[in-house]
Amino acid sequence: MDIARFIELGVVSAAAAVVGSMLGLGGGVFLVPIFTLFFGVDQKLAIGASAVAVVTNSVVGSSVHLRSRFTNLRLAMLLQVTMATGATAGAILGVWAPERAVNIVFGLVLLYAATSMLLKRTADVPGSEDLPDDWGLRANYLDPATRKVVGYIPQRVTAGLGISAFAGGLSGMLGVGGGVIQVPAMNLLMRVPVKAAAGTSSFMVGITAIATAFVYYAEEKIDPTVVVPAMIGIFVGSQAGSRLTRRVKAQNLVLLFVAILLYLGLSLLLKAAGITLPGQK
Amino acid sequence: MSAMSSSVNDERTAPIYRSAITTMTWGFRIAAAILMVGLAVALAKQEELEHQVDPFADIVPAILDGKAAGIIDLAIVAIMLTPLITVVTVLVGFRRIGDRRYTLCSFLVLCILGVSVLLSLLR
Repeated sequence: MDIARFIELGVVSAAAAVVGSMLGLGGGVFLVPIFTLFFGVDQKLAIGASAVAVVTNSVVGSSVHLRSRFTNLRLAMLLQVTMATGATAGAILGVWAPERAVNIVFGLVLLYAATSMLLKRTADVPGSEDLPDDWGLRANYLDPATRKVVGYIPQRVTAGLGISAFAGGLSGMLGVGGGVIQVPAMNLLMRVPVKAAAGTSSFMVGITAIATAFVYYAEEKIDPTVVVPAMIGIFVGSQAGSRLTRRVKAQNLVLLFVAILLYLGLSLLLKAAGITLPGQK
Repeated sequence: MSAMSSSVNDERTAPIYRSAITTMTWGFRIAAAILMVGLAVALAKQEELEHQVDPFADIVPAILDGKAAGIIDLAIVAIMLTPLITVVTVLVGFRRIGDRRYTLCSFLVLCILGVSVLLSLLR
């Protein structure tokens, strides 16, 4: 066992878990590019490892979000119907997709996510509590940062179901949880407050990622030398991230998120074009 | 009115949240404990980590043979099964409070996940 590599993979995974958990992502959006670009891990193995890491992050982080009632269980189960379907189909496709194609899709997804978060930094969506509640999705939670009860009713549910299917497809193909699309969609399109969107997404990404993880398990794309340090890192990082979410204001997270995503997205697109940046493999 | 219905809603769904939290917490604890045992056995026996997981059917025989790889594979499977079991507890919770729409949603999610689990079992 290469101890130094084991520790490095663990530390990177812990950092991805902290940031991912704070943003309602599984962390996979950071892990796959980092594992492939900086550790030279085979892309399919990185996706398989990331899927297991995303499940781990969700299992550890969701308890905190559930306790805070940031997670809307009805909304999660509803959107999960199309998201899990997309994830299973995406995973089957992803196992066979060429590496270059996956790098291009992944790079574009990262750039999209960074741009959408940068352009629309307004994350609070007050006032949706008086709108119609056709799906019975009304919920509320106590925001510890402002000490106010925030009530909301998710809107544009049908569109949300469609986006969830798309997010699930990408999730299955790329080994991410899909939160990178799900959080902005819930927040900006469905008018779910950002903390509820992050909490609901954190719960959902774990369920989405098991659809991917089992397909990759079946295809022998789960490598314990990568998965085990990732799991240990996630065990440590996820709890810290979920607790920080309760204290940190949503807007403060966005710039950090955007910077990391832009760098990783551009790196993957350059790699697809045959250009490797210094320090990358 | 809306505050009142939210509050009633909170009371009805509280047991579902509690069971989901319990499942997640224990799933994490069990998987972490198994992983630590697997790593301890690997260190004690100076066994290298495998580069591939065993098929499900081979995990128990590997554990019975005292192989650390089998225990580590079990930890990976345990963490993967935790959200699946959580969906079951949420389904049961919605059924108990008579919420048919979200019982059906949870059941559909379970069926879809069942397909991907079946794929790995058929390997």
